[in-house]
Amino acid sequence: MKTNIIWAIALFAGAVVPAVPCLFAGEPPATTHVVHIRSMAFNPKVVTIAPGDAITWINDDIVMHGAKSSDPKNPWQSKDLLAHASWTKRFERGGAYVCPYHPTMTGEIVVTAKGGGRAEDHDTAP
Amino acid sequence: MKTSRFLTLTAGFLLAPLVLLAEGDNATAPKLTDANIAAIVVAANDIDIHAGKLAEKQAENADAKGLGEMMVRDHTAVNQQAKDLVTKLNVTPEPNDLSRKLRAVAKKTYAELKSKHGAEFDRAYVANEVAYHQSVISVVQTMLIPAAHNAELKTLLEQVVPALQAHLEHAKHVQAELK
Repeated sequence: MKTNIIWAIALFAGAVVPAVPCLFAGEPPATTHVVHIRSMAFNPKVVTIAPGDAITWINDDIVMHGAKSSDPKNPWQSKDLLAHASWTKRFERGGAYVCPYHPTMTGEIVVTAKGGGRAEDHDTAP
Repeated sequence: MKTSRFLTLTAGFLLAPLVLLAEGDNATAPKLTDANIAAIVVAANDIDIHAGKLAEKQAENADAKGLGEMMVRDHTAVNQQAKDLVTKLNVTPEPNDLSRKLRAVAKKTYAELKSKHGAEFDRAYVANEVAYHQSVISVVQTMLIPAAHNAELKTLLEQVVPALQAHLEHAKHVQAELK
């Protein structure tokens, strides 16, 4: 019984707390966009998101795929996606990406500025 | 007739597209059951996995080796899906004339590939992959998909085609780089 109450409080806190800053800041909550991997292609090929939004890749093909950044300054790579598997990541920066196992499969993430324009990546390197 | 014509043309390095197999002579074309189709699919995948493993060991060029790795990975996945499906459907793959001869020709091709080394192997392996995929795409589209009775088997075959086309595209790209 005591355990159930603790779980209920934990679930309530988990559901509400992340939403509170958005309510006070007046900003929309982050959105999760879906990219289906189907017929050896990312669909949609170009996905446009707001900073902080997430993208979920779902492998609808029968062979293994993945997603890997083509930008060495912004490296990231999904786990291996077997048939029907999925993987999600939040993005602050956009860029091109490729399937690490099928170089002909390419996609692009476009991150728009909060005002609606395209976000520019600033290179801080000297 | 149709089958022997294909096998003659594809002996060696499979330099002729298998589309010839599907041309004309429909009256004498063998009636394929789902069990026959399953055996052809498994044979076609096994052949390319076997050649891919050889490329993983024997290829000198990194892209040719990478192509071999891709073939082993993807065709193993397709074979597993095919085997899972036939198990679910309670169908036992039934070797037929085409699947048997396909394996016999592939054995000869494998021996020829194995005898080559270095850049000669790389070029021969990649050329074989180009021709083989052209042929297999044609067979799947013109023979196997139309003949499949079970809807799930037909769907699996349809799902395989884009993967084969991507393999062909990549193999052609590697072939151009090796020239």
